[in-house]
Amino acid sequence: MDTTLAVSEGGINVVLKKAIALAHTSSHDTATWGPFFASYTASVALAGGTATLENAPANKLDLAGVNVSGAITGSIGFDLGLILPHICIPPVRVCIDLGWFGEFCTPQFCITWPHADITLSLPFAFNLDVSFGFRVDDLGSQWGIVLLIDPFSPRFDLTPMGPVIIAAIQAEVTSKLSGIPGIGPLLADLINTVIGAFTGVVSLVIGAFGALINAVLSLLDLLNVSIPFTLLKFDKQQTFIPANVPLGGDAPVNLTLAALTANVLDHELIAEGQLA
Amino acid sequence: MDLLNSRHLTPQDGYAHPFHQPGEFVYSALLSDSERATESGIIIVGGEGAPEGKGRQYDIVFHWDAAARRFVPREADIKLTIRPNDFVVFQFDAAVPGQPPCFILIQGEESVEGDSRRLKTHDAYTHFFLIPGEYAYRLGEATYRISVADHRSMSEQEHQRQTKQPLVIMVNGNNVDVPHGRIVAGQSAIWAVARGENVHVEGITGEPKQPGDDGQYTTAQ
Repeated sequence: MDTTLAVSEGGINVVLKKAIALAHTSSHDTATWGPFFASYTASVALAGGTATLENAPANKLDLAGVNVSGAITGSIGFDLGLILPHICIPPVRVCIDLGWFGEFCTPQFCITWPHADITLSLPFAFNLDVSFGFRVDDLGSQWGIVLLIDPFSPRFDLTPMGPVIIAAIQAEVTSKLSGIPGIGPLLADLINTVIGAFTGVVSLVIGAFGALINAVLSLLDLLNVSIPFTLLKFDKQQTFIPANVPLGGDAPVNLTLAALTANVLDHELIAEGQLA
Repeated sequence: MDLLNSRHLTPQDGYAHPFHQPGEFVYSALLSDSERATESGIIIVGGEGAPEGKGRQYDIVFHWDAAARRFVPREADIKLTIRPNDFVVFQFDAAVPGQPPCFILIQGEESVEGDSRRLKTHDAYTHFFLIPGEYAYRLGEATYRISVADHRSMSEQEHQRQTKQPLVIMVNGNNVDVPHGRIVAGQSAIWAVARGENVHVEGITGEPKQPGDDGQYTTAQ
């Protein structure tokens, strides 16, 4: 004896929308690139997306247009002393005739370059298309129809963050250095030195941010490549009652769903079970 | 605000001491009196003395050795030979993290020749003002004031013009000839002790009140 259950594409979308609405998480990392060190968190949330079902033999669920949005927050710190040269001010010593001393030259002040850091808050958003296969799993007292995500590489471009970070660093360095008297004529060169040093690592910084976003995405239940996402569950023990008005002696019958298959047909997920 | 204190020297400070008499003197930049045995270098004063007021300046520059936790002079400054009436300006290289303030002690064979904590006649203390603001300081019983303008409030040319001339404050006992100095960040002040014993300059917190009839300031408590 068999039983068949069909879930429409619309029904699948309703189930997935609930899963997508709950999909948000974050993770943290730190990294160092020469004199620059960053402590940063990537947070992501999913929204939207449309599921379509591909008929057998493909037997696929395509989820397209999922909006991934979030932000990289944290800070980038840098030790200007590791970047800028040893400078003493004023560049030419100040000398005066001072009574019993004779010509007296005041000591120069050799600058201890300050530590600097910028706060990051870099939003991002991109669309993600992913595909899933179906598998039926024995969950003990239940059968589960689970989604197996195909390996995916989200395509997103964080390069616009580069100029934003560079501008923030430039503003911070300008603010720090302009507070030091006597280096006005050197200011532009000093700032350029810092920006030059950072420009060499900006692609590494953005790469690290991208890697963390990927890692965070993989933490979401729906997108986890290691742990299948359970789309639907059925109790193995099913109770059947008469279809018509029960007659005397027509008691409900308990039957066991001994096996289950899942296939897509005409844009519907068809689950066929064998009763025992 | 800068730390302004001749008893606790920082890289913004200098201590000048003229050597009028021949002899051998050991010098150190110390954190405490218990370190007295730690000498840094020697100054040998000998030969024909320069006329007073015509002495030559020698610079001894210390840096902080974080591993040894002590101030060390440049190699070339470890043994210095000068003439009577020459003078030495003790100063510092760029500060490193964890560097403490210190004082300079110069010892002759039998007595202390100079101590930056106790300035005496013909010594001088210099301070490079880095941070603008209103500074009040105590010298003896009196309180004086220095207004340090922000260098960003003026043109680069004007700033350079001003910083070419340090503020010289002549100290006579507890009195100074400039009770209220006005300078700009990036400019140095020199307290030159024309006459005095156990003189020190000590910055104090609190807004100074208006000057009294004698031109001195009292500090709001």
